[in-house]
Amino acid sequence: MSHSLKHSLDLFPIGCMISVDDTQGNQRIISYLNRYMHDELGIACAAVGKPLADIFSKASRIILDTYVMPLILHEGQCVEVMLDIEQADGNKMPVSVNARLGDKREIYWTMAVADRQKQLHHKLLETRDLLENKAKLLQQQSITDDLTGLVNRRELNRQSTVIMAQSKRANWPISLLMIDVDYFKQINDSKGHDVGDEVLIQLSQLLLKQARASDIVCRFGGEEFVILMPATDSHAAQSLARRLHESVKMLKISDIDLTLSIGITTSDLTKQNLFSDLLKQADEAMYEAKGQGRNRSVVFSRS
Amino acid sequence: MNKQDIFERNNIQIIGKGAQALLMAHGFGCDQKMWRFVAPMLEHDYRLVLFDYVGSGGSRINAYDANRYASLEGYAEDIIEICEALDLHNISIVGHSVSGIISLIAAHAIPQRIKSLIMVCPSPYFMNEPPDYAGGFEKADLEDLITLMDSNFIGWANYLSPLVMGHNNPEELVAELSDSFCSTDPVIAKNFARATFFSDYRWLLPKNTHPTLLIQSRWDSLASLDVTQYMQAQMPQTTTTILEAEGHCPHMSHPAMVADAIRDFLQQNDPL
Repeated sequence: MSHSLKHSLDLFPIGCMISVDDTQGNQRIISYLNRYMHDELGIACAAVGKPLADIFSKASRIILDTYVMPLILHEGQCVEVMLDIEQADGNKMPVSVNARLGDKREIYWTMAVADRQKQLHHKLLETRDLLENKAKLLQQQSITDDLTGLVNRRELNRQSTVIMAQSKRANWPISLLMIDVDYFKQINDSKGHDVGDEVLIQLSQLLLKQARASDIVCRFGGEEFVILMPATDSHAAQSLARRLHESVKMLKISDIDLTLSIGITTSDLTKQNLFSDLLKQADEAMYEAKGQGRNRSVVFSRS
Repeated sequence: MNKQDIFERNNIQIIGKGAQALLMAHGFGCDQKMWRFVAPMLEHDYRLVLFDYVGSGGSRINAYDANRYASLEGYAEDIIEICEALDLHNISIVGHSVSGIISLIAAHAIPQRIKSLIMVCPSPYFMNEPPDYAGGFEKADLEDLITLMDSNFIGWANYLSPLVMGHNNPEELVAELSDSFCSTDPVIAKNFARATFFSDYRWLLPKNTHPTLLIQSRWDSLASLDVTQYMQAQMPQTTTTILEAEGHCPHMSHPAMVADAIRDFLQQNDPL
């Protein structure tokens, strides 16, 4: 390279570098650095004659090996690759790199400080993560009941479609429990809404604990809950209902003796079953339980 | 899922002949194409089952589930489901890099179907934990790596070369190997990178119950000999073959060496 060219390259406000094969053709060696490489990117003059990889951070060397070098050898160039230079003191400096392959397999590199670009990119990534998290949260909120954390009615309806279809294919029975808190209005009126809320929250936890993982426990309305049980016959559904009557006695919230009225129904394997029908049947059975004096379960009967 | 579904989902190709089947599990950032140099050397004696993990190569991308594939267990599920759908028995799994560990997870779940494991340049944990373990990287290095993948995502995933190549390999070879880049979805590739670089499966090594071969390049910037020695010491029934080769993908840069090592190991365990 002529002296005058060297001189003029030193005036450019961008890093210029040339790398060549070493004499054995084993390694890429830095053969030229312009002044910007020293002054702005902090590469020591002594880097000339050393391996190319040495000026990059460890992570950048992996990108260099798996992406940049194959790209240069294959396409003859690379454009706008972000890498980190590692300076002698261990400081990292983000750079935007372009490179072009020469006739004698030498590579011409330019690199420019990309601090602001990197900051902007970080901002972009942060924003993307934030939006993704918000979308997840909204998705979560749209399917759960705020107070109890159980799935809401809309989500129950959505999942029921899948479960009904699966059960039909597998010829499994589905059971459904409609659960209503007895005298909930009195609790709210006499003890206040905070206590009423506490009843609903604790009852929800109890329902989740007693139900199996595959069951769907839903807050259906005010003090009404639904448990949808895939692959469950009437016998197993009644046994869950019995466990609920037993365990609800253990709940101690402000001296209330909490009891439940439960309607139970099971799909009829010989007939077409609609989810809305099952809901209606369980609801009817639940009102029958109320009518018989509450604190009991009634199994829907088709007669 | 039935057999046909799995065939399509994981883009399964079966080639070669022989009583012994080898399930060839590609590593991070590529697909079954990475076996194209070593497969011709093995297919006369062995039946090779090639596949792509969901999210890679010609797999069915819409089967990708970010939660399932957030950890290596999800990838192991792919292997398990393939073995079950094809009803494979007595199979040897050849796993490159992270797939070495994935095959160990799978073998732990379905030991009765697996005969042996062959791991090419594996690492159970990429981070340093002095003084007992030298994975080769500081946490900051790996976080930088993920950030750089993100910064370059427009080009990076489209031009990802599986070669963490050795500098001593002839450039003609490098150019040829990089001729078909492994184009992957950047988000999927980044998730795979996370699952690969930030997981720690050292606890699983002592639980190994299958004859295992570790094939390791002497010079590999991703998995060092320290890591190989650690695995050899921790895993029962394990032997190691060190290749006089450089780079993280010796099955691409030095396929004959890798084919010989595989053949020797299989014949020792079960002469043809």
